Amino acid sequence: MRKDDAQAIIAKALALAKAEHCEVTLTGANNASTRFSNNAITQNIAKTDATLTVLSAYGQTKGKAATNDFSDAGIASCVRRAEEIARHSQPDTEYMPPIPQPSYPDVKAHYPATEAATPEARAAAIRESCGLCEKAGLTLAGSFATESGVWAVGNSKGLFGYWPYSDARYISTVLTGDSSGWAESVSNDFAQVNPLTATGIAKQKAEAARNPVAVEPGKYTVILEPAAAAEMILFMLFSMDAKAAHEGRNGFAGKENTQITSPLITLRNQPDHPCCPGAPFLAGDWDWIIPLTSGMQVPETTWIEKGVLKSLMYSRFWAGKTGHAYTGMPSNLIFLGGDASLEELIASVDEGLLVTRFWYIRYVDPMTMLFTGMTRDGLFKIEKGKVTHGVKNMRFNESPLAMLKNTMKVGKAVRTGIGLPNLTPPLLVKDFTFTSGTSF
Amino acid sequence: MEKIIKDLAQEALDAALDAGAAYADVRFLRMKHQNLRTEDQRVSGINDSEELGFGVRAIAQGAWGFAGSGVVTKDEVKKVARQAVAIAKASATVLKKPVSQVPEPKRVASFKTPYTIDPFTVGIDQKVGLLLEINRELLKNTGVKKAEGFMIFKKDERLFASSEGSLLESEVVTSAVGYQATAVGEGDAKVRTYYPPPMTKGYEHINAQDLLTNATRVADQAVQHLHAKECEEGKKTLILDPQNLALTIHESVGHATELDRVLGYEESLAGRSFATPDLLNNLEYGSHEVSFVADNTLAHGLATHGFDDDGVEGQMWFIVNEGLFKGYSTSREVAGEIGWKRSTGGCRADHWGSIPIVRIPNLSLAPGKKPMSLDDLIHDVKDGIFIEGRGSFSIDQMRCNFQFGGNAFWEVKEGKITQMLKNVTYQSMTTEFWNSCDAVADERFWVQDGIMNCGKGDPVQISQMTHGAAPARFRNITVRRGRA
Repeated sequence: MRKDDAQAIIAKALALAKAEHCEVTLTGANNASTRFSNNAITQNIAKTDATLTVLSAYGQTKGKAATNDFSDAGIASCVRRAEEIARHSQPDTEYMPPIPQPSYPDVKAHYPATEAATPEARAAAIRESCGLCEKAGLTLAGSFATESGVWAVGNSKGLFGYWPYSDARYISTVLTGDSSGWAESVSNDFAQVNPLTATGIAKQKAEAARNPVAVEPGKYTVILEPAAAAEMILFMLFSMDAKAAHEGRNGFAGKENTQITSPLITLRNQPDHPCCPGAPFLAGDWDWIIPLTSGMQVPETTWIEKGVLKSLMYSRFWAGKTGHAYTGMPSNLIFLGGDASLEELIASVDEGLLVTRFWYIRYVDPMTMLFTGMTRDGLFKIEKGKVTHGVKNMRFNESPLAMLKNTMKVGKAVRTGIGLPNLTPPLLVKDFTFTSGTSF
Repeated sequence: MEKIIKDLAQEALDAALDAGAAYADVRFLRMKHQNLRTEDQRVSGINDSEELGFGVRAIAQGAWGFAGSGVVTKDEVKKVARQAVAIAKASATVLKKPVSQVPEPKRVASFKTPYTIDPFTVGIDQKVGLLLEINRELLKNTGVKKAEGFMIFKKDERLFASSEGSLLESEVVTSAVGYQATAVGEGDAKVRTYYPPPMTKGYEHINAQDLLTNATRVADQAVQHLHAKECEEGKKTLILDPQNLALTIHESVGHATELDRVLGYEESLAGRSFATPDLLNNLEYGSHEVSFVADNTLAHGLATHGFDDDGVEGQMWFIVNEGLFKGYSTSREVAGEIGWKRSTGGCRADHWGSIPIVRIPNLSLAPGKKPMSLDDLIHDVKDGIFIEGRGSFSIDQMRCNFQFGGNAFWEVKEGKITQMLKNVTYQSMTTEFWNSCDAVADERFWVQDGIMNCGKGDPVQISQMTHGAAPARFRNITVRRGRA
C-alpha cells in the first residue's frame, strides 16, 4: 500500500471520528510462502491482507474496532463500533491520550526484490536445495517465505507515520534416517537470502549427527548457536514488564540496576540498526505485554549493559507513575557479540555439547525465570575442541538468567529469524541443566 | 451467505478451472471476533474485529496452489483464482508425485452452531460489568494482588464451494470466559485460575457459569498456593483433573496422530510423530483403560463445524481403543497416502487467508466403564498428587518426551488429600505415560474442556478443539520441582 493511499484511508477514519480521542492504525501486507517436505513442494500460498484499527476514547474509556473493509461504509462502521464500545465500557485507568507528531528515525527495511519475489523464484531455489539432498540420499524439509507490507498510524492530534518493510526467510531441515540438521538464511532483502548455503549447513549437521548416542542428563558446558541463544533471550525479553516486576509478579522483581548476568552480556534495541532494522514505531496488536500508544517512537533502549539490568519495559502510564523513561516494547534485539567465530568457541571447549536450536520453550516458574524446552535438529558432543558425535535430544530445565550468568564467552553476532529481528551471538555457557532425554 | 458471495464463489471456481486447475475450491469467511480483558478495576482491552475475505485452493499440473485476499470484488476473485493456479504450476516444478484426494460425496448442506443468545448482541456494559464484579470479588481477599478476567467471542460464517459440486455453509459461534487471581508475597507469586470449558455456544454459555460463586474459592486458593509446601521429587502416583488432561491429551495424542505430520509435512516447524502407520493396530498406545475418541459431531465441540475445509462431513472414530492405536486425523490428501478410502475430516484453516491443514479433532479420553469417582481414584493412592488446571507444557518434536505443570497441586497420602503443594512438574514419555493409567473416573465426572489457541503450520495458524476427560490416575510418574 502506497503512502498516499494509507494516508487517505487514515484521514477518512479520523474525519468520521466523534470521540474525544482517536487513534487509527493501518497494517497491510502481501505474504507468500512455499513449504516443502520429503524433497517436494507441499504447500504454496499467497495472501493479500490489510486491517484498519480504530481506537476511540472518551476520557479514559476506550474501545477498539478493526475491519478489512475499506469502503466508506466499512470505515464508518468501524469508527462507529469503536465509539459504541467506548461509550458502553468503563475506564482504563492506564489509558494515555494520543501524542503529537514525533520525529521518527529513517529505518530502511523495505526491498523491492522481496516485494517482487515470485513463486517460480522460490521454487527454483528449493529445487536446487532438494537436488543437493537427494544426491546424498537425504530428505529436505523447510519453507521459503516473504512478506512485504506497511505499518501506518494517525491520530486526532495530527500524527502520521508510515513505515514500509519487507522480510524473507528460508529455513531448512535435512533428515537422515536417524538424525537431522537445521539452518536458516534471513534478510529484509530477498536477494541476500542464500537457500543453498543454509541447506548445505543443515546437510552437514544432519550427516555429522548420524548414529546419535544418549548422554546422561546433568549439567553440561554448552555452546548455544545463535538460534538457540535467541530462543532463550527473546522468551526472557518478553517477560520484562516493569509493572509486573514492581508488583512482585515476575523474575525481575528488585533486580533493576543490579548485576544479573555475566559482564559479557549487553542487550539493546535500536530500530535504525543498519544490519537488523526494527520498526520506528509500533502499530497493530503489539499491546499484549504492556499498554502501548500507536505511533509512539520506539526509543533506543539498553536493557542489560555489561551484565547490569538497566531497564525493564515501561508503558507510558508506568513510566509516568514511576518517573522512569518510557521504553515501550522493543522492535528489534541487538545482542552485542564478540569477535570469536563459532568454530573458535568450539575449539575452546574440552568437553561439552553443541546445541543447534531449541524447541517448545515454556515457562516452568516465572518468579525464578525457570524455562523448559528441548534441543532439536543437531545436538553434538564436543571433545577436546572438536565436534565428535551426534547426541540424542534432551530436555532442559534452566533459567535464562542463570544461563547468562554462566556465559563464559560470546561469539560473533549474526542475524537470526527467531521472533523479533535480532542479532544474536553464539554463547559458551557452563553448567547448563539437562533433566531428561528422549528417544531420538 | 448472501447470493452475491455465492456468485463470486462460482466466478472463482470458473476462473481457476479456466486457468488450468484440475480441482479447485473457494472458501469465503466472514469473521467477527471480540476479546475483552480486565485487570483489577480497569478495562485493559476490548478488541472487536470484523473481516471478510476468501481463499482459493487449486490443483494444477498435480500440485497445490493457494491464494487469498480481503478484497471481495469480482475482478479480485478472478485474479486471485488465477494466482492460485499459477502458484500451483510453480509448485509442480518440485513435485515427487501428483496430489491425489480420496473421494468425498458432493453435497449441498449447511451447519449452524445451536445457540440462543448471539454474544454480539449482548452489551459491552453487561460483559465488562460482570468481569469487573468478578475482579472485585477476587480482590476482597487481601492476599490477592492482581485480578484478571477475559471473555472471547467468535462468530465465523463460512461458504465452501468446490469444483466437484459441493456447496457448504456454516455459522460457528464460540464463547469463552475465565479469570485468575495472583497472590504475591515472600518473594513469590502464585496464580489460581477459573477457566470454564470454552464451547461453541452463545452468551448463554457465559450465563450458565458459576463465575461469581467460585471467585472466593479461587482467591483463597491463590493465597493458599503461595504458602504451600514445596513438592518432593520422585516417582509418584498422579491423579489429573479433566482440565489438566485436556492439554496432555492435546500434546501427546492429538498432535501425535495428525497424519500430515506423521508423513513429514510439518517437519520444518511443528515436527513429526513417533506414531507411524506401521504401528496402527499394533502399538499399545495406552493401557486397557485408555480410549481416545475423535468426534467432530460432538454437541458444542470447538471443532464441530459440520464439515471441514475439504468439504468432508464431521465424523466420529477411535484414535485409541482400549489402549490400541487405531487412527489419525486426516485431510483428503494425506488419507490416501496410507491407503485409506475416506478422510476423517480434519482439514481446517483458521482464516480466509490460510490454507487448510490437518488439525486435531475434538479428541477426548473416554470415561471409565466401571463406576469410579474422583474420591475412589484418590482412595487407592499411598503417595501421590492430585493436579488441577493447566500450567507449564512442553513436548519434543516427535511427541515423545513431555513435561507438564498444573494450576493447583494437592498432596495425597494414604488415600486422602492432605495439603496443597507448589512448584510441581511431571515428566514422562508419551506411551509410557498412557500405559501407566490404571483408572479413569466414570461418565458422571467427564468434562468437555478444550483448547482455544492451538498453534500449527507455517505460517502459524491458531485453531480450537475440544478435549473431554474424566479424572484419571497414573502410576509411577516422575515428579520434579519446578523452581530454579
